[in-house]
Amino acid sequence: MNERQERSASDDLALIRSMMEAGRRRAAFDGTHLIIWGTVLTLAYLGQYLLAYGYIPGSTLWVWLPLGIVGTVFSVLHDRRRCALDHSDIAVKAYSGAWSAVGITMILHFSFALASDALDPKVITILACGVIAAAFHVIALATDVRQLRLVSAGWWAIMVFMTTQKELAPEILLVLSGASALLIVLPGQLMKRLVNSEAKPKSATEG
Amino acid sequence: MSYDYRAIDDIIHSRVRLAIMSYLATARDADFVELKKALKVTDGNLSTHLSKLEGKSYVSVSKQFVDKKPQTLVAITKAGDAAFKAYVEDLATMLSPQTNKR
Repeated sequence: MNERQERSASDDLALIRSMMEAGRRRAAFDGTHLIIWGTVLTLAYLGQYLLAYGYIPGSTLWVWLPLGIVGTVFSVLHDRRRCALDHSDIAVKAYSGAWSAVGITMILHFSFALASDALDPKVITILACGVIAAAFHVIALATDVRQLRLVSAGWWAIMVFMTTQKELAPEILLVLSGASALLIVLPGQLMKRLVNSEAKPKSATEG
Repeated sequence: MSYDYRAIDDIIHSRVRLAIMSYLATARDADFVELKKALKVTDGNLSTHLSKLEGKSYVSVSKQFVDKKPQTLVAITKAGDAAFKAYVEDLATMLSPQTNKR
């Protein structure tokens, strides 16, 4: 049998599997979505705080709408480059499913609350913290990245803190802005670093 | 039907190039440093292999500046995608029980 053919068989398949898995993990969990939406939330809460004290003109909608559009556009552009994700992969499913659930829950709640003229800042804040905490918990379980459990715990803690407040002072918006930076943008950076450092199959140069 | 091993794509068949193509098949693109880390190869080695893949238009290599630092971005092309799929299919054919019996 040809030497080249012998080398190829199982070694090459193992190499292909391991590298494709590394690439897939990098693509799925590269943290870019977290960085995009964490930045959007950080700026939006900060904008809302400045709005509450009259430092900037406009309304809540004019703070959130442009930032939401910017976040969506960046996410879509990012996803178009990552079109080869294997959505049958359980971790990829969990990741995209968890964040889709966050988006759908918040949009539904916001729409119904707005339509019924019952938009309660406290309720929407508690709900947002809860779904974000749950999403991070699901991702932590799916990816086995322990640090994400701490991030999830951080959001649960903020949620509990919000429930203890009788009414939300504008300063709470600063807390949420900081939390978005610390507990969404930062984990995004962490995932970027983790995925890049984990993608190290030892067989690439051997054989 | 017998399998002709000579039909296998020699450009992809090199171990490092196979690793590059496998990684890019799912990641779609990667910067030079990320690829170097993933493959555990030297700068020169990676450059040589990327040049060969680029020469066959399996990958595109572009340079850009991120935070005033130069970054080399490597992306798989449509031709690269097709060639990689064909390579994997060839490999699967080679490993299939029917082929092994012959």
